[in-house]
Amino acid sequence: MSSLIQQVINGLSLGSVYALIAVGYSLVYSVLLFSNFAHGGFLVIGGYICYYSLLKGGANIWVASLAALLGAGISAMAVERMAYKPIRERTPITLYMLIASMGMSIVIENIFVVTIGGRFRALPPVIPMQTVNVFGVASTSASDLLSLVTAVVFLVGLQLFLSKTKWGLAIRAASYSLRTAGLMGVNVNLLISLVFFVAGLLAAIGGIFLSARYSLYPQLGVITTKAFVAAVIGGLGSLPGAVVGSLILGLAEMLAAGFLSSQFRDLIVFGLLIITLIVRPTGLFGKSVGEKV
Amino acid sequence: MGDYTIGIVTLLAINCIAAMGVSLFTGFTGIFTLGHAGYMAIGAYTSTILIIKLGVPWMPAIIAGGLAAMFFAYLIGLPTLKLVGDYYTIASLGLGEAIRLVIENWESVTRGARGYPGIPHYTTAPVAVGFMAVLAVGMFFLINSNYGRAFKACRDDYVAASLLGFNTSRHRVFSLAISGFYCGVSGSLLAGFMSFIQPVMFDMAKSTELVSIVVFGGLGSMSGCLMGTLILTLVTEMFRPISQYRMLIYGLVLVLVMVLRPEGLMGANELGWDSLKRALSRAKALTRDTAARFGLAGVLIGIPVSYCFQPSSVRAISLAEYLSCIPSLMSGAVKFGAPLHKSVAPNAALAVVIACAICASFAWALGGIIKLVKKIDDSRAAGRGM
Repeated sequence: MSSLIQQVINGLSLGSVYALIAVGYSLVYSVLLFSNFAHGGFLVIGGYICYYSLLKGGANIWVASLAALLGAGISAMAVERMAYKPIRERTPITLYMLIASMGMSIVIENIFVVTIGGRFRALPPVIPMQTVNVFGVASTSASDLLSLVTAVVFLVGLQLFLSKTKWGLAIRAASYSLRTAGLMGVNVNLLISLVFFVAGLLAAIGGIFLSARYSLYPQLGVITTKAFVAAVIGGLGSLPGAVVGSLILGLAEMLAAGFLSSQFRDLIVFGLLIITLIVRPTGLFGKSVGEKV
Repeated sequence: MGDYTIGIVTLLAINCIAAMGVSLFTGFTGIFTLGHAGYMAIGAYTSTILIIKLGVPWMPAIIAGGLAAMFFAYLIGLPTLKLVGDYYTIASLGLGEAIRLVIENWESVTRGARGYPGIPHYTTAPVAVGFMAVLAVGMFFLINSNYGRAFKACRDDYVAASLLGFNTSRHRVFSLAISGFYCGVSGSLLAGFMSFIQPVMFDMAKSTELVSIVVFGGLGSMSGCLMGTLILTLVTEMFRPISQYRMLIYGLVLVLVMVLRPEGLMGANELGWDSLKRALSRAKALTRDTAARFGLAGVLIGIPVSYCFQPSSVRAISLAEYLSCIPSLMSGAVKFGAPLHKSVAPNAALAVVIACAICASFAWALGGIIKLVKKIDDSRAAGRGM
């Protein structure tokens, strides 16, 4: 019983990290209607900035995290300006942006491979790892609880930003129709940059926790595949859906690893995706939009 | 032809078959994929197991490999292609991994991650090229048939296509199944060519390579896809000494082509008399351009310039000898860092290309300046005349 509770806590913590990544991805999808596969790259950039400012810069964890968040956000904006803006200004075909984003993800990954090498690096022990007893029924590591709390804080912050501020309103408007939002006087280019900044920032938090949980290497961004799957399970483009889908995925993965075999984790993820698409193609929270002609 | 050349030709034909499959799905039906190496794996393992365990002759085994991949693609396509959106693309990211995991863990049948040795070497160059020719003709008829036009209609405007009575999701699934067949056949041929298969051979890098080829050649052009295979395979062979940059180059190809020329090498045009005539007339116009003339001269200057900048042991051989070495170093027959006497290491190929490119761009700029000066002169003369 206690091992079940422990796996559930682990699953929720892993799911909350997925949620941070999936929400950023969903945010971009809801505005620009394409899958930004370079999202994993932002995560890796954040992880490496954190690693190097801790190790070489001698910064403490707060400064290092802040640098990682800003760095990943700014590089996300830069990627949008360099690779996606020229395409979206020329053509409405989202396939082109999708292909460019896949290219960008490969480029970012391999820039790290050729410059600093594909070696696995462990983050310095800045995130507490000791075992914590949860209400006397189970024990789990402090970093799991910390990542859960951090994710909740940032997701609530994002929710407040989207619902209370003027820019949040603009982003919600743009997710219905970018064109109309532009006609209403929203600076569309600035809005898209902002969306990418937020997405990169959230990805960097995920990157820091993932590199503390596993280790840091250029292919760490591949893990975003699971966040994409979570977003599809929750409904593409829906933020609550992304969170719920991520939690389901994290739980399923951890329970499979704990009670079946850790090799089945990835198969379970893929199976969940296929089952969702068969039973409920638009995902849990997806709205099936009637096409206007 | 040496053994090496024959090997390259065979590999080209095998890659070409897989690229045609991806081109049908991504180029003509408009759905991005990153899991097509998985279908190659299914084809390769199916035909290998049929040949070794059941003693089936290789020809039916290759077809069976293709059909197995086709069936699997159909099953995957049914749920994921029902909706318009990036569903298949996201599923395809997991698909390749899932297939690899199954192969690695199903050791009693697939022999796991260590690979399957001892496959008879049935893919000779004529077999591979023959398969490629037959499948290319088949593809040509398919894309010019009713079905091909329906694929393009689903890609360009699925709403209009469905209003015209096309079942768009069924067409997408059909397109995926056919492209799965091509990849399965290609994988079966690869198994017979390498005599040894391993799950790692069909990883994400292979899927990326296939997609880069198609994007580079042009979305919606079969001949562009053939040319893309030719160019990218030869370029990666030539630059084998710097193979750690290979993935970086593929990634840059995807981004740069999308940003600068989303239609790729050929656009939606096919290689034929019309496009040839157009290219010729454009080339003719270019030869009248001063800057372009200078650039061409720069390329020619680049060859002796690169000769001067070679390591000293290369300079010891004559220029004529050096020039005669280019084909052999292009083929990569000489190992990187091998003694340079009488033969030239493949990094010399890189030197030639870089030197030519630098000389050409300088000459091009010079030509451009001269042209500009001439233009100013002309306009001045015209001003005086008035």
